[in-house]
Amino acid sequence: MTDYNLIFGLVLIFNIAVTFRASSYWKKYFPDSTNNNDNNNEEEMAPLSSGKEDSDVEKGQASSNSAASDAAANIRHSQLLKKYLFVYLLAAFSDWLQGPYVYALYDAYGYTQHEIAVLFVAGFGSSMIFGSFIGGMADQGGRKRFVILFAVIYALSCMTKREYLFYIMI
Amino acid sequence: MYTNCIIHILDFKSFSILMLGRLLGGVATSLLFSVFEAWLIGAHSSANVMSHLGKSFSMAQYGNSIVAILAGQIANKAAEYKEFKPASEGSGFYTGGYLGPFDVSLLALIVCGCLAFTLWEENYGEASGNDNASDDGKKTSASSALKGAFSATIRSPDILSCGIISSLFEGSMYIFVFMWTPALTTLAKEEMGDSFEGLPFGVIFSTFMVCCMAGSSIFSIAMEKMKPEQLAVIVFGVAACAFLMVICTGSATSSFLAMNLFEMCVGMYFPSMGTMKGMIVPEDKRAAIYNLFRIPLNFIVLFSLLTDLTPKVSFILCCSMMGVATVLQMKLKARRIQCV
Repeated sequence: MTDYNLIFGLVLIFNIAVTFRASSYWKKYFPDSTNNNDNNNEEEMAPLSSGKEDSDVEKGQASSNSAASDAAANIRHSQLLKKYLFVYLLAAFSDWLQGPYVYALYDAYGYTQHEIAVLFVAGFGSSMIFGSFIGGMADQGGRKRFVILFAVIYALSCMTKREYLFYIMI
Repeated sequence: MYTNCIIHILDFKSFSILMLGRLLGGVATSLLFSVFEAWLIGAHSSANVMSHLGKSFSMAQYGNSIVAILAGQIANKAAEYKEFKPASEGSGFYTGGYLGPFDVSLLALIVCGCLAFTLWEENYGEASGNDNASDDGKKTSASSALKGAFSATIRSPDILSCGIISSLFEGSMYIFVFMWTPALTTLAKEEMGDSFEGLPFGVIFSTFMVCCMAGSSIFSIAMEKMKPEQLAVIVFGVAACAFLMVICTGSATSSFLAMNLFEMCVGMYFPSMGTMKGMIVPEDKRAAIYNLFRIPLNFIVLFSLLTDLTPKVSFILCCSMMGVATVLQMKLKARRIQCV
């Protein structure tokens, strides 16, 4: 018999070790090993001049970027990243929550593997048809607007999982 | 007799409602996989921090993995919280059980929409963000955006290989997403016989996601010494081996471990491919090209699921697709390194 909790625990420990090795903490304690990495000088310098930085960036992201422009860019970047992650991670969370139980739910409702496959394919087919133009529409119609649209549509999809509830309402 | 009849009518009606849910879900996932990324790259471009793009992708992937691990465990709890049963005797309205995770998901989506509304600023594809071109931008239809994306893809062998490789990899990933539940259930039933009482799907899923996160960390470590083009060759090779292991072993435990190895490749794949696509695909057509990439992907999924392949045959298919991806990636790597 497979002990899923045990495997989860072991894999988690492995993951923590690898993630620690990849993190900035490792770089702090063992700086020699990462001397060729260019992304870990976040807190080294205060911004000196922002005028110089713009012209640097215009020239392209050459390796000659100064430490000052790096620091200013790092601040802009971390603000941007924070904003992005809040929204994106909630979206991903709602997607992952459904992942493990979609098949199991359809199975519990009593559908066969073939019927479940048809449902899955319908989802993929719809994402193929809409996906072929929805990205272009978002480029022109505004990506933020389409992210909000995402939340509304996925919420509706969630509610249809209570199939019998819907039947009573209709 | 009477209730049986009712249930048959309900079955047909409820199947079409589940179908509607899947169709809406398909629209939502196509948005999730293209528009968020497009917004991020656009925002990097306007903040002049394009050089940080690789870091952003790996951060987003870290966060995504942590959220996925939590989501698996929370879904497991939510599914075990209440028994799956009709709300009242004879009622068709089910409650609890496997519906629990979907309720939590609904809540998260509401908060997500509100946060996007308050925190984000609007951004557009570069071509239509330009003031002078905004009139033309409105006239340009979505289908011409797709045509532009198509011709750009056909003209560049690098964009084309990127598209084929990501379709092959993500194709096997979606086959895996569908097949892991029946594959592990079948193996567990064989081994446990009558004592089988269902599997902790949330915990299994959560373990996959831990591996995915480990893969993401391995990507960061590998980037100290390698280019993403080189790492991707290894990723596809190992993924092919993982599928070979799933095909060859008969026990639930070793299959599960091999599946975890594949999930580790998934974790390395996303930041590698994200970085490669960031460098190879032109910014103004980005979202359209990414969706173009999804077309062959969906044909792979359509074919493999509708033909009612057994889990074993579909894993053989995945294994061979990973073999092809390895070869194509080796060619792409050779071209890219020649250019530099």
